[in-house]
Amino acid sequence: MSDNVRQPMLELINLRKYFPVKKGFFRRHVADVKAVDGVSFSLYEGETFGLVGESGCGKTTLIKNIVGALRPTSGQILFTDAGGQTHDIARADRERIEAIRRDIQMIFQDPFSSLNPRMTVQDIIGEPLLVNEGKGRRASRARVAELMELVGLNPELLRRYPHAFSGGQRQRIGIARALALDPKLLLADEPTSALDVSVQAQILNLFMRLQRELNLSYIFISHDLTVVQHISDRAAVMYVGHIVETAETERLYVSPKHPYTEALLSAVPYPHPDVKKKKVVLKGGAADPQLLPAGCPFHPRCPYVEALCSTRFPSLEEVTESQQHWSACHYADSLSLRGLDTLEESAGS
Amino acid sequence: MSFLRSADVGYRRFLMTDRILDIQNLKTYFHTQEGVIRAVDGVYLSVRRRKALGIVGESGCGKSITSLSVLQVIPSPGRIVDGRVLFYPEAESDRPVDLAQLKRHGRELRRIRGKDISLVFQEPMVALSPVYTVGNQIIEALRLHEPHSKRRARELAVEMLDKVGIPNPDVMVDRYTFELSGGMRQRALIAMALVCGPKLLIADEPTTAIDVTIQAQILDLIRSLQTDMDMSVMLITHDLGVIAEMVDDIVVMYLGKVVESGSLHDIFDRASHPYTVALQRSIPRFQRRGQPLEVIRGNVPDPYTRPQGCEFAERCPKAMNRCFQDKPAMAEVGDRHSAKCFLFTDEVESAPGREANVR
Ligand SMILES: Nc1ncnc2c1ncn2[C@@H]1O[C@H](COP(=O)(O)OP(=O)(O)OP(=O)(O)O)[C@@H](O)[C@H]1O
Ligand SMILES: Nc1ncnc2c1ncn2[C@@H]1O[C@H](COP(=O)(O)OP(=O)(O)OP(=O)(O)O)[C@@H](O)[C@H]1O
Ligand SMILES: [Mg+2]
Ligand SMILES: [Mg+2]
Repeated sequence: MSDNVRQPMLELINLRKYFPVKKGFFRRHVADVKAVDGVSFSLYEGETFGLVGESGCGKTTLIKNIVGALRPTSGQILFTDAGGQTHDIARADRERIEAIRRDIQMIFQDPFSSLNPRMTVQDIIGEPLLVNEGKGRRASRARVAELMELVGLNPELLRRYPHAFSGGQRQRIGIARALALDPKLLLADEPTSALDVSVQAQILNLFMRLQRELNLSYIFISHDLTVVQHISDRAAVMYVGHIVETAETERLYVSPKHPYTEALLSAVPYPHPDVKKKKVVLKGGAADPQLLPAGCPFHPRCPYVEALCSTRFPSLEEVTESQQHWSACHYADSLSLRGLDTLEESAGS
Repeated sequence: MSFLRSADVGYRRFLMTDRILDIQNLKTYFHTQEGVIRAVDGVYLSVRRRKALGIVGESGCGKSITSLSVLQVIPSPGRIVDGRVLFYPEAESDRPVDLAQLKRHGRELRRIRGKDISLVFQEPMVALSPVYTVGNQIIEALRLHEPHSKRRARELAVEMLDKVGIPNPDVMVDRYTFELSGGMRQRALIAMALVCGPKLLIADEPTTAIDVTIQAQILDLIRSLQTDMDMSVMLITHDLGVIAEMVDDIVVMYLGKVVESGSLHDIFDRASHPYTVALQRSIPRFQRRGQPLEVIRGNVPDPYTRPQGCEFAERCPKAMNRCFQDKPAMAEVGDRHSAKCFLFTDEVESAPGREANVR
């Protein structure tokens, strides 16, 4: 390999996480929920990777595997630390995971229930310092104040309890806490879904600024496709445990190569009453990772379904039209799908 | 001429009376050791029958507490300290029930809760029990109000789970809530709220954890229940896209008060209050990737202190001197469209003493 090939900081190879389904008095193992079923992707330093997809498609499960909170059924999670050493989180022991966890932090959707109401802001933000470095209140005070400043909180408020803060401020507290140990990678699971648009704008700006200042990498999960396109360099669309499409963000949104991506883009509600977008209405209900059909997992709901789709599983392959754009559709090259541009034009606004 | 006038009066009466819910001067406070939090501080709003009202506004402005006050399911130490919550279950001619006057745990309120009015909470895990299966919780909700057999109730529960887009509902009905993804929990909660066919659905951020295609399906379901079963809706969401698709009327809240109200088009095309204008500007739009988003400067003040003048003055790009001294009254800026801002009125909000006398 030549030198100018960048080394990914995180590489997932064929990751699987199955949950056993047990039934009856003896809790017999009757089936598996294939929550994550063969996911591979790479993430580079300083990059934001957006993850979207149907509820229940395995996004949270995926990132919980990356922080070591869940152990994968199979596959590799290769993480390269600041010293250039590569570890497989999938096989790491507890101790190693604890060490890697300093570099990889998670931020949750809910700024309300994820903060302990009985702890002051100082203790919440300082907790990782106490647990990992044995630093008590006094020893960590300066660092906590610095972190509060970094995320735009007034350090004078450090003795307050979380309930005295608004949703956006609480999310800042969560971010400050996640930054306490100087991580390299933040996994954000719907970090702005509980926030109103004006606070969401502040938090997104904060994410972008911190990335510039600290050279952080993000995996960013959101149901809001506008948010994901705003913040991500590359994005992936998941459908029942699989990545069905991934590309550089703008490409993905402007010229999608998977019918599910097209349907998602068309369903984004437009923030003006006069713009009525042409929605691609999907047949049937959401997919169930416990009862997957043969062939392409999306075929029962796909508006472009062909005979082949119900028999052969489509693997994720690079489309011919452009490099680094991957789709798991047998007809990715021949379908002409509508991206965001055309969807909004057809709305006639 | 006289015909016109009487038609006009008829129309006005229609607007005046065709309401299912009318909240007047609602105040819900939290008395805490550190001080009083005026979470809801004199809210007026109404929901028209078969229509949908959207409530928007910054986090912490009191949207959830307003909606929880309707059925008095406010977290302690919260308490309604003033105001009326008039509910007209059947028609305009009825005498309304003042829900704020009913006993918190009394029979009357319990009968209304879940049957006439049902609530989708913002936090699904608070409302769902971890020790019962999803199905048992829906079945219980059903049988509380209607004498269905267990088997029939189960059928209805499965049917409802299917309608809200839960895959394999006859399997999922036996799952525990911790086995569901965030979005599936939210759908289970919506199923529970809709299964009794409420007259008024109050939904607090019902689709935040749900992807857009399922969201579209749930919004369709709510719309069809509105027409088929005459359901009225009070919808709280910060997704202005959802608001644009779903509601007929909008109220915009800021720091416990309504600062602007009007029809969907009034608010989107003729936003008047500087806060409403700023809110719309902060939405991310396609094609501006990576650029800083417009934000409203400053933060919501801490909940224990309230500014002397207009609540928004500190952060308002159009603030004038008097905005820091007085609170503006609600002013009409169009037909059924009003805003609480000195740009449109010279009048000040009536003194708190006088408002308290209303009751
Ligand atoms: N502890 C568990 N036991 C059994 N099944 C589980 C468990 N946790 C998750 N699942 C299942 O795994 C699948 C993926 O769940 P996950 O929470 O990862 O979805 P998600 O993409 O994050 O969804 P959402 O957008 O709704 O948060 C779902 O079908 C869910 O029911
Ligand atoms: N249990 C509680 N104890 C004390 N104060 C509370 C409690 N619950 C809410 N509050 C206060 O009431 C105010 C209004 O809260 P509410 O939950 O109604 O906001 P919201 O508009 O729904 O915000 P969001 O968009 O974040 O859901 C907030 O200032 C909050 O601090
Ligand atoms: Mg999730
Ligand atoms: Mg709320």
